[in-house]
Amino acid sequence: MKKLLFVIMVLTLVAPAVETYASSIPYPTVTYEDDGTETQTQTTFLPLGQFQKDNSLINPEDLFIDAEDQVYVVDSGTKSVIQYSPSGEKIKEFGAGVLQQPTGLYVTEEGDLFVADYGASKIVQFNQKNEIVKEFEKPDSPLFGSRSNFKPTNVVIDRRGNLYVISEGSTNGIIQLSEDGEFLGFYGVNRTQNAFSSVIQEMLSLDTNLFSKNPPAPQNIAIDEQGLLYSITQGAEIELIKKLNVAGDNMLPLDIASDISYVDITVDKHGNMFVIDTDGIIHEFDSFGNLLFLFSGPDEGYNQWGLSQQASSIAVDSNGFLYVADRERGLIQRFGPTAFMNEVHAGIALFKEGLYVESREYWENVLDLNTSFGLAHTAMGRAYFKEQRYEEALEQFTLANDRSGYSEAFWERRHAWLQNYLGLSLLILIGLLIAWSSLKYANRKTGIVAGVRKKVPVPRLLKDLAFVGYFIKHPVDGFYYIRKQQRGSVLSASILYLLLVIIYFYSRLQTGFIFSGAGGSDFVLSRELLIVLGPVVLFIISNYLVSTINDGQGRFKDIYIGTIYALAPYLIFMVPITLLSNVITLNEAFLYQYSVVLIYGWCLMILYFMVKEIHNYMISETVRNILLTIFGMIMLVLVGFILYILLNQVIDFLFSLISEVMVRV
Amino acid sequence: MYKKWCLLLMIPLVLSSSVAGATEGTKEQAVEEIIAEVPQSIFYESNQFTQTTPDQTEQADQEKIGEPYELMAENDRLALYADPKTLAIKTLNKKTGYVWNSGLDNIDDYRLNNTWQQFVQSAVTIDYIDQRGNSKTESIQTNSSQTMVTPTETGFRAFILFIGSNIEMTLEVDLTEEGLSFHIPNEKIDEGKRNLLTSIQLYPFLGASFKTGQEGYMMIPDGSGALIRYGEKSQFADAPFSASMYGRDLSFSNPSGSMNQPVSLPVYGVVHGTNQNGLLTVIESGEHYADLSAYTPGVSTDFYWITPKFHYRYNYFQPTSRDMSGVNVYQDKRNEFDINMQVHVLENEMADYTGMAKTYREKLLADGDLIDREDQYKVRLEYLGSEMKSGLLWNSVVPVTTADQVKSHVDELQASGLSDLFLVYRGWTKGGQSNTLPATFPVEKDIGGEKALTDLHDELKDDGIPLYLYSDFTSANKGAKGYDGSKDVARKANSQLILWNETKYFNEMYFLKPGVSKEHAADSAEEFSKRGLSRMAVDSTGYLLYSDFEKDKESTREEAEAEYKELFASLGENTDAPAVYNPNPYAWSGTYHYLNIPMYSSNYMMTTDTVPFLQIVLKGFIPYYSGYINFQSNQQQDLLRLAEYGVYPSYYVTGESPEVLADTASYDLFTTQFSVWKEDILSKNNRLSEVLKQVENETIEQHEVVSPGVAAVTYSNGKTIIVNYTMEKYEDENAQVEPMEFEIFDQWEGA
Repeated sequence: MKKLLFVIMVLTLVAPAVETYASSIPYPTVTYEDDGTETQTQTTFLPLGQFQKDNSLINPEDLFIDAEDQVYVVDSGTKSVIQYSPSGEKIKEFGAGVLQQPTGLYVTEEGDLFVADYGASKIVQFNQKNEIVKEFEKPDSPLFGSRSNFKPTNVVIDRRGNLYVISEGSTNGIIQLSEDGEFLGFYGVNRTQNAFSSVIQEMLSLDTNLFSKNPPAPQNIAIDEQGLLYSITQGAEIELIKKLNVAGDNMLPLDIASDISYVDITVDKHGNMFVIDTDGIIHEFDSFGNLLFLFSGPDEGYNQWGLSQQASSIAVDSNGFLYVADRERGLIQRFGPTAFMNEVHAGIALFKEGLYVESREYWENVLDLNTSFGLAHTAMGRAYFKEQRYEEALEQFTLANDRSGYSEAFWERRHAWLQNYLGLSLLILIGLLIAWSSLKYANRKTGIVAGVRKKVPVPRLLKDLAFVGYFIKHPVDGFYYIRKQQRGSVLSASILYLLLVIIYFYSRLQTGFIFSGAGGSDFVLSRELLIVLGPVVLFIISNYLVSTINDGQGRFKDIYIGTIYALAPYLIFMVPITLLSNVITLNEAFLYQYSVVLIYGWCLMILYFMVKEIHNYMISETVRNILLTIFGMIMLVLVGFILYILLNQVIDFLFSLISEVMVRV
Repeated sequence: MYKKWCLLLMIPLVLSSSVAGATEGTKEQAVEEIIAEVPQSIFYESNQFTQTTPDQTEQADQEKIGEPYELMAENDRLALYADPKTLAIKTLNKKTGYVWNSGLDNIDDYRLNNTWQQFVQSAVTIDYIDQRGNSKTESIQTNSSQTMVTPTETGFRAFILFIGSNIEMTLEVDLTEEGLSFHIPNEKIDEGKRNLLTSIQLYPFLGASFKTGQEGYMMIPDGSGALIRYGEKSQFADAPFSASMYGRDLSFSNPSGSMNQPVSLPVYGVVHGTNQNGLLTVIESGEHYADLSAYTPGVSTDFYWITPKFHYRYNYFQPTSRDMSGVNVYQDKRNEFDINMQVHVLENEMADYTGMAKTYREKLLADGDLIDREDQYKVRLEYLGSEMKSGLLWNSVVPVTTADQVKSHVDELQASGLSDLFLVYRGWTKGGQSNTLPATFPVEKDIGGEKALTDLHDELKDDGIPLYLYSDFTSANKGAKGYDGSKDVARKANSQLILWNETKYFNEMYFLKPGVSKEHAADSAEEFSKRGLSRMAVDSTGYLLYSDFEKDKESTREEAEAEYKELFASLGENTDAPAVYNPNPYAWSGTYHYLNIPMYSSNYMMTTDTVPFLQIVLKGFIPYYSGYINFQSNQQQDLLRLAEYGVYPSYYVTGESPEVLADTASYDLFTTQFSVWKEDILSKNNRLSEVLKQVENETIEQHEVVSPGVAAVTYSNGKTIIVNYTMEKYEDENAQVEPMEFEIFDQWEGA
């Protein structure tokens, strides 16, 4: 989905927008705005052309950059590992003539090279003199399984010297070997996917073995300075990127990305992750898995630096420069961070350590350069929160769309307010209660209120409208009156329908920040009207049609009136609950959430009674009627849809016929 | 998303408790690591900078010109020889003794198949469509076509009959004082009855160089100008560089997603040995139909070669159904144009990109296409007035900078000592910036209305600060006022309207017929003068060039060019010193200020350098302004580039924070607020004005890179600006420049 959006972004650049990117950069850089929409930002990485000075690479597969910024490249074309100096001069070549099809590489601090040789199905360890120190072949442990394949594509080593091997099709996860080649176990196994679509597929399929339940195998691996492992998986639906702790558990959000085929991952010294996908688009995430920037992409024949034909690997050096290997072109491109990027990274580094206040100056610079950088607002909000400047924190959290931060700051502010005004408000409340009960008492004694009531005749319409309240307690009786036409009229119902729309809009737009979805920004009048009135209209029509052939006694008018009265709980309680949502925090979220569920449930229950009473059904008849009504609703939508498509086809056909005639004749 | 943030907040909370009271040390360390000394050399060794000239090789010994070549013409500088059979030519530069060969001697020594050999050795190669609709290629040599050479006073005229396709044409080659002139007149082309001519290539290998040949480069007019130096660094590409002159004709193409800059100059060049020998080709006629292609070794052949391809028929897409499926067809009628190429033979100090630019400049001046305008240092501030925001029920206007705010900003800047200002006001039309073109008046009332705008104009005029109003006579939005959607919009070859599709924030955008644009410009000028306003900044019209295929009212790009020339000429008379966004050369005669000049090239893998070719042509004649600095990500480097190229700075500014522009068409303005950028405007102005003010109205005489990352630009008054992109201090006998700084010197005698 995100990729799709990115592609759209790129295409829409044709539109007459102001030039906000440097014209020498062949790709836009995209970031997330406060409200989660994608937008362009300053270039974060500049394409700097080819890194290596010679043209000896054929098919670079994997990159490794050591602490001295020397770059090691595994090349399956030359069948060797080539070492480059930081300035791109070739220093040494390893493993020529020994390796068959090397695809992965790790270099230890001591300078030993571990090369995953896919062709030879083993991992070969070289020292700096290009001598073979050790070879790791398929483990013979029974735990590994004699039928499991050992086709290593990538390898990393942790501080204790253990090997973590990515093997092709290893659905059991990452293979963990000891220094001596002993099989230690599988690590970080992926979950089997139980996505909705596959469940449906399985239900419909006769051959139950058609869809294997094996978890997808990890694709590539990286390790950071703290020894945390990162893995990426292609073809999965969740957990495309995993950051694994010692226990092998994922520390990143499950839905970090979707529908993207990642190829390689690398981690800089501050834990920022750079992941490249098959299209060559580079995704930068911070250490918590927030997507920061998207840039670079596929080269569509223009041959420009900064784009890839077939990206195979990505690596980052100690200065924060990125290196991207292109298997097809046989070269390594380098990207340099811009001043803007450095500010962001400095802010992130401090923020990550919890030094919110100290990070603020960097975020302020970042915000000067990009007013709507979401993460900056969150960080600023954290900083203000720590300094107990809650008003400013609230403002920043609102800008960042950060609900939990907002909730915490709001709690603090509410706390302060309560401390100041709690006494006063309690007094007022008690005063009101006393006034109310004394009025009640007086009424009982003297009948003042009742007298007034009698004197002023209430018009029928008002009574009909007020009749809504009756349904809360006595729905069955209520519908009886409606059927007997003693209460409710088409006019009163119509007014209530209008009220329904207004109340829906009110709750849609005025729900407190913490509980509102996207807020008012995606409010499209016609769509919202459809959402609120569509189901109601469908229900009324379908129910009427079903009941007429099902011995229902209700007339169309009754159903029309009855339906809106059945929604009485929504009409009565939605406004107070919306108001409530403005003063509670996430701690009391259940209050809001349960009330909303309760209202909907209540409405459905009354709707059931409505059908039963209006049509004078038995219980079994009612249930059948309701099921048929639902079926009818679905059918109505389906028929409408089919008609729309058919009509479209006809128009399309006529259009092409005419235009072809016009072109050819 | 919500979960993510939750997690994001949880983890630091846990962490912060563990590092509670983290020392200052941690912070400093963390930051230091990030702002660590980044090796600048990686940046200035990229192809976005000019590189040092490698050691020159001795000019190779030239073979004697003999059979089958015959002497055709001769003057003091040059001698022209031709092979009457293939029409291949050799040109001897008498001063240097260098021979420019349109083909190859000893062609069998190279890896070229028959087709390529014929292509290389023939003067003309054509593409055509045969009766069955197949595309075919034919060179003079392919079927040993007949040629009939008639010597003329200054060269020769050759009649060519292509045997295979039965297409006839006449090629005229003349020797001039400057070099060569190639001419294929349109009326002498006869396609016969069966075949359709689609394109012509003329002397494609003139100036070609073998992959391990001499030192030198090809110059392509990409961005500000780019070089493809011979050597390993330019041999990665697997496809040629290819670009249409003045951008692709919108009548034949769908907008593509490419972010490349269009080629705006009809020139290209070749250097064989820096300051030894060079060629500069100017396409004088037919450039509207030309694609420029540059090939490097590895792309088709082992040679560096560059040539234009002239299209007589374009292929275009004819949709036949609403879901946009359809067929590709060729134009029925041939494009009518003469081919006329002027090849300037350059030698010694003129044989480099500076020399080429100077040669082109002289030519433009002689032809009256470049006129000397007042060139004064100014800082351009481009203000966004207001923007349209679609609302729940109706659209509203978001004012971002009112006329009063502009005035107060100017006052603030003047108080701080900056009064060399050049202001452009956008979004002043009723309804805001977007989706209102081509309408002009009335003025949007939320920015103050007409009164405030004219008052602002007059007050600034008293201070000597010009206020330009943003205009565009080419684009028109769906639903906007000021044009007739059925009559005024140009049509594509497939008879669809020329348009850009609707996007989230933009309505469909149409492109007006050039004649309509002209009238519209005249009307606007009148409206302006009625209100006492006088200055316009014109977007799109200066760089968009397209033909129109409305039935019976067709017009070509050439005709469009003529209309636009008149448009700008009359603007120059009826308004004050018009400013134009990226004008193509045909609009230069009406341009007094060049806005958004390119300062980089498009990062093609085959290019090795970016050079200020365009800047050398224009400097001293038309003042030029940069793109918007505030959107740049490497501010310091960009500042140095402004000084190196003599570009005046530009900012895109608003009074309010651009946050208010969310959910409008200008949502992508991420940093524009004046209060944020004021200090930067002042400090950059301080640095630039002290240097660039000293070279106002002067031309660039020499641009060179004295050592990697250090550029020296010498002006006609003898002053030299030295720009140091490195992290080390630059020192030579009479100049010192601090790291990442620039300095101007009165007398600099070279490194």
